[in-house]
Amino acid sequence: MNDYAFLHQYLAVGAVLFSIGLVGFFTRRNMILMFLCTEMMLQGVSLSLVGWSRFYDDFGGQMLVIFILVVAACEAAIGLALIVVLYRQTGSLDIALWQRLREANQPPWQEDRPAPIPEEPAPVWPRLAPAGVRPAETDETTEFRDMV
Amino acid sequence: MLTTETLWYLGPEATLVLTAVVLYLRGVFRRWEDQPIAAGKSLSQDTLSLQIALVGVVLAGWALVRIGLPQESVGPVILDPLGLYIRWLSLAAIGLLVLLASTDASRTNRPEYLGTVLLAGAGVMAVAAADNLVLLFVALELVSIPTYIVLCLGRRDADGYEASAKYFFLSLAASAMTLYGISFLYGASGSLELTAIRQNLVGKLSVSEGYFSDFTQLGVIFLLAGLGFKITAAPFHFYAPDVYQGTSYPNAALLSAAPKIAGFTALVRILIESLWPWEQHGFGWRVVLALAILTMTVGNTAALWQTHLRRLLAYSSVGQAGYILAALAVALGAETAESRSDGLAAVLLYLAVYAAATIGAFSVFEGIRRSGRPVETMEDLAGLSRHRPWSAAWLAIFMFSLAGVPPLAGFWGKWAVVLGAIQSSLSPRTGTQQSLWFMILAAAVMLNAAAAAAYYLRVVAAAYFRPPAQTHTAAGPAGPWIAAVLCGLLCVGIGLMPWPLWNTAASAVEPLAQPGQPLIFWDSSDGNPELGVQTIPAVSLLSPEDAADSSLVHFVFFAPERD
Repeated sequence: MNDYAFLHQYLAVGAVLFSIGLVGFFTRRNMILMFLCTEMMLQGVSLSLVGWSRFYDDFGGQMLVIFILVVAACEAAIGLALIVVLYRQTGSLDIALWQRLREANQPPWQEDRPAPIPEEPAPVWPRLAPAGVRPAETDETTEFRDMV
Repeated sequence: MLTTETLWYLGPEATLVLTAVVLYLRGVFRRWEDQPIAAGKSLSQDTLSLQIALVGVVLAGWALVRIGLPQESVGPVILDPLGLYIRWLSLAAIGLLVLLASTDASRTNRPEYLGTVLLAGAGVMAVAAADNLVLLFVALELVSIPTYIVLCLGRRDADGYEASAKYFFLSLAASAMTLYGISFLYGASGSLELTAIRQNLVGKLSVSEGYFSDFTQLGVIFLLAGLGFKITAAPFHFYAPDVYQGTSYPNAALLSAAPKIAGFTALVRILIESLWPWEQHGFGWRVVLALAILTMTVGNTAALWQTHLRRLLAYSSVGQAGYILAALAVALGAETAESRSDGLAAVLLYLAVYAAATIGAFSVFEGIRRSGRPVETMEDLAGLSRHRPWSAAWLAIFMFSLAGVPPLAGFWGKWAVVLGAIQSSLSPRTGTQQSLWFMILAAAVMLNAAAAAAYYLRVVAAAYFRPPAQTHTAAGPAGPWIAAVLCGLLCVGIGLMPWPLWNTAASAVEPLAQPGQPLIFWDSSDGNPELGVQTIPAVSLLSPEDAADSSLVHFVFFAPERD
C-alpha cells in the first residue's frame, strides 16, 4: 500500500485546494464567500489526510476527517447566524464596511464606493411569544377556577 | 481504546459541559418577568445562574481531585503532571471569569453567557488532557466556538458585532492552518497519538531522513501559524487590539486567558512531547525564538502609543505572549534536561502569573463605572485613587505585576524566563551560535520589560495623579470585585512565596524534560510486545566532538508488559 506516486497526487490536489481557499479568503470581501473559502481550506486538509491515511493503511486520518466535518458543521451554524446579524446591521455582506475598530489616527481603508450604512433603525422582526408568562386573567377564568 | 474509564478521566470537562447544559435549560425556562424591562432600572441580578455556574466549577474541581494522578495514558486521554497543572490553572481561571462575568453587559442572556464560558473552560481543560491529535483538535475547537458565541452575547452594538466578525473569520482560517499542520505531522509519522508520533519519528528519521523531516518542518510551520493566532504571536496578532476594543471587559479577559493557555499547552504537547527527537535537527527553536523576539517587541512598542484601556491591554497581552514564547524557545533549544526543565517550568509559571494579573486588571476595570458608563480610555481613570482608593490600589498591583516589579508575581515569571535563557546560553553543551542567540533573547526580554514598564506605569499614573473630573462608582454586583481581590491576593502571594508554584511547575514538566525516558520502544506489530531495538540520533547525549564521530548510537530498550 505504500505507494508514493498516489500519495503525491492526493497531497498535490489537497495543497491546491488549501491554497485556493487561502487566497480566496484573503482577497474576497463577501462574507459568505470568505466562509466558503475557509471550508475549501478544510476540504484540502481532509483530502491530504485521506491520502496519508491510505498511504499508511491506518484509519486515524479518516477518523479525523469525520471530526473535521462535524466541527465544520458547528462553525457553519454559528458563522451563518453571525453573518445574518451583521447583514441586518448594514444591509450588505461586504466585510469592508466593518472598519470602525482600528488604530487611532489611522485613515480607513480606501473603498471604491461609500459605505451604505442605513440611517434608519433596524427593522422590527417578528418574535416568538414569550415563554413562562401567566396568561392574562379574564372574569371567565377567575369565575370558574374554583370549580376546577 | 475508548472505554468508560476514558469518560471517567474526562470527568471535570464533562461536569463543566453538563453544568452548561443546566444553565442553557435555565435560560429557556426562566420566567419572562425576571428579565429587566429597560436599561437603567434596577436590574435583576439573576444570582441563581451565577450560583449554578460556580457550583459547576467546584464540582469539576472535586472530580479533578477524585481522578488524582494515575500517570497513565488511557485512550486519547493522558493524565500526567503537566496536564494536571494546566487543568487546575484553567479551572481557577474559569472560576474567576465566571465571577467577573456576573456584571456582563447583556443581562438578558446571562445563563447562556455563563454556560458558554464554562464550555470554553471545558475546552481548555480537554486540551491539557489530550494525548491524541484528534482530541487536541476537537478541544481547541471547543475553546474557539464558544468564544464566538460569547463575543456576540457579551456586547450587542456595532463595535461588538465587528469584533465578533473579525475574530470569527480569522479564527476559522487559523483553525484550518492548525489542521493542515496536524495533517503533515500525521503524514510524517503515520500516527495521531502524540507518544506514537515520537516513537515513529525516531525510526523514520534514521531511515529516510530528508523526506519525513521536510514534512515535519512544514507541519511545525503551519502549527505555529495556527496556534500563533490563539496565543497572539506577532505576525498573527492583528486581530487582538480591534477585538479587545470592540468587546466587553469580561470577554476581553476570557480572550486573553483561555486561548492562550490552550495554545501554549498544545504547543508544549506537540513540540516538546512528540517532536523532541526530530527537534534535535535544530529547526523549531530558531523559529520560536524569532517569533518570541518579534512578538514581544511588536506588542510592547505598539502599546506605548495606546490610550484606550482594552487596546493597551491587548498589546500588553501580545508582549506577554512573547515572553512565554521565549521560555518555550529555551526549552526547545536546550541541550540538557535541566535547561529544558527550566524553560518548560518557566512557561507554566508565566502562564499562571500572567492569567492572575490580566484577569485581575480586567476585573478592576469591569468593577468601576464613571458617570454610569464603563471606563474606556486613560482619561476615564482620572481621579480613581480619590473616589475608589481600593480599586486604584488593586489596579496598581496588577499593573506592577504585569510590568514585573520585584515583590509581585510577574517578577518571578520574567526572572524564570531570563534565568533560563542565560543558563542555557552559558551551558558548556550549547553550541556557539545557539549560545549567542539565547543571550540575545535574554537581552531582548530585559529590554522589553523595561520598555513595557513605561505604559503600565502610565495607567497607574492616570489613576493616581490626574486631576479628577467626574466621580467613579461601583458597578453593582460584587462579582468583579471578588475576582479582583482573589487575583490580587494571588499576585502578592506568589510574589512573596514563589517557591510552591515554581516547585509544582518544575515537577510537572519533569517527565517531559527527561531525554531518554519516553523513548520506550514498543514492538507490538505482531500483537504482543517484545524486545525492541531502536536507532536514535543521540546528539544530546554526547559532546559535539563525539557526535561528529558517531552520530548514531544504538540503544536497546526492554519493552515492559503492557497492562
